[in-house]
Amino acid sequence: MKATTHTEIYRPFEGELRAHPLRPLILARAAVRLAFKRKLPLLLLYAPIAIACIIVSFKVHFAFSLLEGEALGPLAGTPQGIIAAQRLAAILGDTVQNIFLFLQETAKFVLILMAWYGSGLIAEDRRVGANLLYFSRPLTRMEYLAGKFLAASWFGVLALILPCLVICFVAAFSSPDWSFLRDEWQTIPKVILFGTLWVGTMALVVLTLSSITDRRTHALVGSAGLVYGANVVAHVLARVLRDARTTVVDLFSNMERVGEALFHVTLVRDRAVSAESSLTAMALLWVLCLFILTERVRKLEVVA
Amino acid sequence: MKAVVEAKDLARWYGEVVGLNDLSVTIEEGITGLVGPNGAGKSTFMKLLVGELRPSRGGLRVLGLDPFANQALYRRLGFCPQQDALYDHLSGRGFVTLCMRMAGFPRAEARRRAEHALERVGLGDAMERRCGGYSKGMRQRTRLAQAIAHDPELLIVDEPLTGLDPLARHRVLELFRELAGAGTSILVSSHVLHEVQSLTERIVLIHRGRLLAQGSVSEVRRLLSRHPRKVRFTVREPRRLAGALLRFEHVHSLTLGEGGALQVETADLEALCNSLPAVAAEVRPGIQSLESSDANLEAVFDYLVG
Repeated sequence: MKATTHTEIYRPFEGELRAHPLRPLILARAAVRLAFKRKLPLLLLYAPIAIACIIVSFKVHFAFSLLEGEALGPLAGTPQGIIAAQRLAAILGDTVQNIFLFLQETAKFVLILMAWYGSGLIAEDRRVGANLLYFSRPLTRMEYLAGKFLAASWFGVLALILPCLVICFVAAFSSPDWSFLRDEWQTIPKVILFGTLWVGTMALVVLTLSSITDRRTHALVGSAGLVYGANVVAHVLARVLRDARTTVVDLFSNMERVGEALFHVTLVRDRAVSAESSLTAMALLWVLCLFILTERVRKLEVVA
Repeated sequence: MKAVVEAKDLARWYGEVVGLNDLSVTIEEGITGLVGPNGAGKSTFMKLLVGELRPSRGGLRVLGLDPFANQALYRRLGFCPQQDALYDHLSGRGFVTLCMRMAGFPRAEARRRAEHALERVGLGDAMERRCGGYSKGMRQRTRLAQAIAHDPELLIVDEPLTGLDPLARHRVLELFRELAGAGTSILVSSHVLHEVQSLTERIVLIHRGRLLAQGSVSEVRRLLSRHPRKVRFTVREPRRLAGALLRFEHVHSLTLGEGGALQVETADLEALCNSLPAVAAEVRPGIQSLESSDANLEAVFDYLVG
């Protein structure tokens, strides 16, 4: 210890102490910075998504290049070349469908990623008693919850929405005469809407589990188990009862149906459950999660 | 003196468990020690003070305000909890800066205050290190730094000396004295009773959720009339002194020990002290030393709780 430090006179603050209008953001930023301090999980969880994003971007770029005839070399402009380009482009798939499929597949992985990063957000605070410090500051419980929700969502936004926007960006630059932007511009808000829906839902589920336990690993296993477990149970029940309506309890199936309706893409014909029913089921899940979360955060005082 | 804490019939239950029961106490400016055995309700009282808990019954005012969910009050309070409360992957400076940002300071000011507070608690050299690598004492001091960095009017510290080595304890106690000298009121709970007493004479003693005693240690001791005060003499002629003291009514017992030791139990310490010069002049026992062994906080605590 420095002997001089205890003879110092405390410096009075001349400014004004204000309630920061975006206090949840400060909390979220701190949580994200804290989570990203560990580099190995960061690499293991985000690298697969980055690789998938690069592959899909390349696929989209190549499809547009084929349609423009740039990638055909000496066959460019010939009837054989045009036919070959159209067939190859058809194999590579429609851009919007590619983006939608990327969203669907990435979303399943994003669950693990968000569960990894989000499961400790409330549970760890409870375990170490950090909430005692937060709540003795000018921070309401709702602001605390909002900060944790923003942090959990941010991990998902980085993994789901951002890569999709990158693919849209590549599509926009690769398409001839900006045709992607002119004809398919709605894809961008749809990606944001679908991504937000998925990320928001996952953040709520993960935070709810995190608020129930004071062990990060319990919340992690619980979140993954709940979503994947519901998926398995729904499909087993559908097989046993020969009724596909049981898939209404499966989050993945619900999101798939909502995505199909949003992107006007058909992955499965003759769905037993409508997109509206899926949205209703998800809304019920949000209400349940919000109820549990607010109750748990309100009662943090009792369990701390 | 102005009251910083006023509790009236304050009670808090955790389901069927009573945390605090009918506590009525007024704590004035300055340093006050909150003492009591484990499970007495000290931490519950502190959590009520900082608004972590809502009282089940009764009224509580801290700095004249209701503490539960009172944002205006939290700017004026500093709280150092007993729980760990640190994030292992944040540096000490990062953690205190985050707390200051939460308190409403702009980024640069929050950082400056964090550095200054960490230097004050003796972590100037370690503030860049991750909290995960801190010792128990360093973690304790980091918690203390976040509690004092915003210059609070009332500092509430729960077991601040736990895990600290003697030098760090001394420095922390010095820091409390310095803060109190600058006008900060401090409510400190600790099991290290002699150090609490070295910090303040004023105590609030809680036991089984109830207020057992309040006031200065000597006042409280005086009120414990069923426990006679013990005075230990070292004398050249102990028998001569014992014989002279026997005639006083307030002297309950005399015990002779080895090496000229004489222990006197008296119901009136003041009367004994007043009569001592005359006795010494009369019988010339050769008094070398005297001390009251049960006038300290530890003895008071034992009598009240034990």
